[in-house]
Amino acid sequence: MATGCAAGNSGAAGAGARGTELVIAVGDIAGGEFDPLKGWGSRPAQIRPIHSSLLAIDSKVNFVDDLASKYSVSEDALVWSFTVRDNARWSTGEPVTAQDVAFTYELLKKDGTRFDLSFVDKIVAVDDSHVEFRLSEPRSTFVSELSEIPILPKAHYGPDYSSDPIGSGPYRVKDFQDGQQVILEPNPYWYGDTVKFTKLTFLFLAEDAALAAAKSGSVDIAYVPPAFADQKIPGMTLQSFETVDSRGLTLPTLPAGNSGKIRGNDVKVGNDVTSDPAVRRALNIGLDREGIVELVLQGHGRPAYTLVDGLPWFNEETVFEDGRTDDAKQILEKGGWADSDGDGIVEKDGAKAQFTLLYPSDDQLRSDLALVVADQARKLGIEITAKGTTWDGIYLDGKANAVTWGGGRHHAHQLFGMYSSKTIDTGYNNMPQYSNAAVDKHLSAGLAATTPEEANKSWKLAQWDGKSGFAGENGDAPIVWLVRIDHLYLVRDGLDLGDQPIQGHGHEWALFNTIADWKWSG
Amino acid sequence: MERLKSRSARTGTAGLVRSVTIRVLRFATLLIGVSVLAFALVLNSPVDPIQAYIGADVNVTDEQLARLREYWGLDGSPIEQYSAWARAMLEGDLGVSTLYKAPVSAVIGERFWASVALMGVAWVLSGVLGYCLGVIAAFHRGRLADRIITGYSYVLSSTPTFWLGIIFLVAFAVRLGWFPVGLAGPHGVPADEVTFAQRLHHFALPAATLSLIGVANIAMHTRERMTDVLHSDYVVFARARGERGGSLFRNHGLRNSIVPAVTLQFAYFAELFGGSVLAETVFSYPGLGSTLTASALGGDVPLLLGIVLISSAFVFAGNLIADLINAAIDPRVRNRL
Repeated sequence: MATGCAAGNSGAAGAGARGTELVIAVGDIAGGEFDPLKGWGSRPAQIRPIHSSLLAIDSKVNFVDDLASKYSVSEDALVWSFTVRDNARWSTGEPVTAQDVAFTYELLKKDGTRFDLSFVDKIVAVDDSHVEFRLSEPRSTFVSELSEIPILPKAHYGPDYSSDPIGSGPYRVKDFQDGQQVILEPNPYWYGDTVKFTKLTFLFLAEDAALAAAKSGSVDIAYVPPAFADQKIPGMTLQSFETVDSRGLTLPTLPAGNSGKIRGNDVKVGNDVTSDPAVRRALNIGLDREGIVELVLQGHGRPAYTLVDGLPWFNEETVFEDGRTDDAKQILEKGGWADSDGDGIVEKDGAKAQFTLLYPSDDQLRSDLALVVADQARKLGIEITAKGTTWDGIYLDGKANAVTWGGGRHHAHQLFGMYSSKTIDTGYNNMPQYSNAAVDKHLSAGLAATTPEEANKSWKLAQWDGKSGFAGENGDAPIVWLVRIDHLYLVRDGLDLGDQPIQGHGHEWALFNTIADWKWSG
Repeated sequence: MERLKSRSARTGTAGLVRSVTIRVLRFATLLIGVSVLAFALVLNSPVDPIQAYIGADVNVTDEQLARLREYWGLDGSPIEQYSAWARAMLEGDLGVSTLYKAPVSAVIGERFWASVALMGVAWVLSGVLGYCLGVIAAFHRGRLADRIITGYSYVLSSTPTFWLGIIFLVAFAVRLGWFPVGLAGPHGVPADEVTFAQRLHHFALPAATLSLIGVANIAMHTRERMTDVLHSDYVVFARARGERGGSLFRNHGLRNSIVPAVTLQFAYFAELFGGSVLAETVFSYPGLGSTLTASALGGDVPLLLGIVLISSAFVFAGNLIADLINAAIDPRVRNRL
């Protein structure tokens, strides 16, 4: 027993003091280890510890050079040319070449399950340091794949890559114990500034176990769900980070009786109540977002007005004062809705303003959201029945009913997917079957743009261009965005996690964009 | 006389062949039944494997979806899917885990020993401890020791494994800090540098949880059996001859009370497996149990079927061993075999 205790304590060394080693428990992060074919890179910032990518995001979510020292996009937006930086080395010391980049993208394009590269026609390594992507259609949001796909070493990649991964990031894998932990050490050939820690240990602990480990003093960074954010642990501080991880309601924009597809299945489309713009607008301005944040997220979140709040392509004109019960009632009245039988719910042409809101019952957050929304809507005179189901159920009935929807990425492509009429009946895009010619025009212009500035301008106009748009007080509101989740971590006092960008969806990896800059402050 | 003896030996061999054949057939039908049932359950579960695989909020294009369905083998009818799996299985190929993208045999092999060690230790400890407690309770029936042991057993048998695990975790790992919170080795130490003592240290809490839960059942059954034995005519007679305590236990109690204990303990394999799933989850212990949960939730059919087969073989073996050991201990059972 005595030896056991001593061994346990030495094992936890590094945690608790300002050492050069960190122990990190940010949720059960197991799965897909290090290999993009197994899904590595499909979560924001997942690749940052041991890989690098052609582009990366900075603290303002601008796309900047990473492995590429420069890049350009042709006039017709179809040819993207990259120069690979000349000081990039694999953790083995060998140089990273354009052939490695081409190899990685060819591999993933051929696989076709993990990353959508269907718009890439050809990948050409011109010489050792230049690589060219020829696209079959303009796609300004290609920057997202370029900043998420980890570059693999052509000479060392094979079926066993997971157990011996070689990357070109700030750290390299010292030991990987499947299902338990990953131990990282600095990559001596990393092209950036020398990292401040000699060892990072990632524990694969589920949320409660991570919290228990933090309480026992054996970790330096632990994820905390909002419900446990009040926990006080000596020596640790709660750090809260803004995210674009948003939740809202999709509202069918077509009347009942239509048909369409979700993920290839034929489904019923349309709802007679939500297809009335007055109902959608009344909900948009009538629901009280601050109140929802308080109830659903215990205050650890902020209101959302679009899918992209706070990002460089967010149109600030879409923010408005909400929780306006009287104004919402007035909109309904102007739309022909009135409460004639005095039951508190408005009617039009003899039909009550009632519809069903579907939520996945295994998702606590969305369940709570559905119930709070139903409660608030009743005050506006709209009766929402919240109904728990499975995702399979949602993909069957989700186009004829409202759904608690979510999203939030560091790229604008989700805007195109959720709001363009071109995406109707593909995947689970455009659930409300929304179409607006003006919005379509802006979205297509955004995709065809050759510079990020130009693209961002179009994305903003699609949200609200002064006359119409899918967001804002007077917008069409096919999706009423309500809240953004804050990511909460208990962090060892004095640990500086760098200048974090607004974090993306998924609290497990979102923290690691700045991993190379982590240090002790003061 | 001579002829009679050899004849009985022959029927003995034939009987053995017959009983072995029956057992092999039973085992085969068990595996077929269990795999069909597991397959049907997964197919009808609300978990969409592709959905589970890519995550709820990740959108994929229709092309990606089609490729995933193809990769998962979800194109064919359920019967085609099952027979494809069964055919490969008969050739010794358990298939490739869709979650881990590695051969099922490799995934199971990696985790099998962690679980076997956990269950093995829990099994031996709970058996020995439970039997001893049962004997003590029976010998002191109605007195304080009996009441303590009985009370303890009732409390434990109504305690869910995961709850006891959480209590241990909070008390010994978080509050007292004697044991680590989870995993099978210390933080930040490469696998090949982990010492045996460290492994033991991480192993202690999950093993203790499983062992303690297993004690109750065996203790109570042994207590009842031993009470019967102690009230039997031969024990009354032995007592009349002056046998007491230890010698009474050795000469009459042990053999007569151990049979139900052994049978129970081997039949307990099934519950042990279930318990280890929960204990492994609470203590983040990387064994078969947590992998079973992951494969079921992730719709990983090959891996799930693989684990289900291994565990049914495990439970079947438990029952078989119980029969054989009973036969070895008790001549009456041997004659029936």
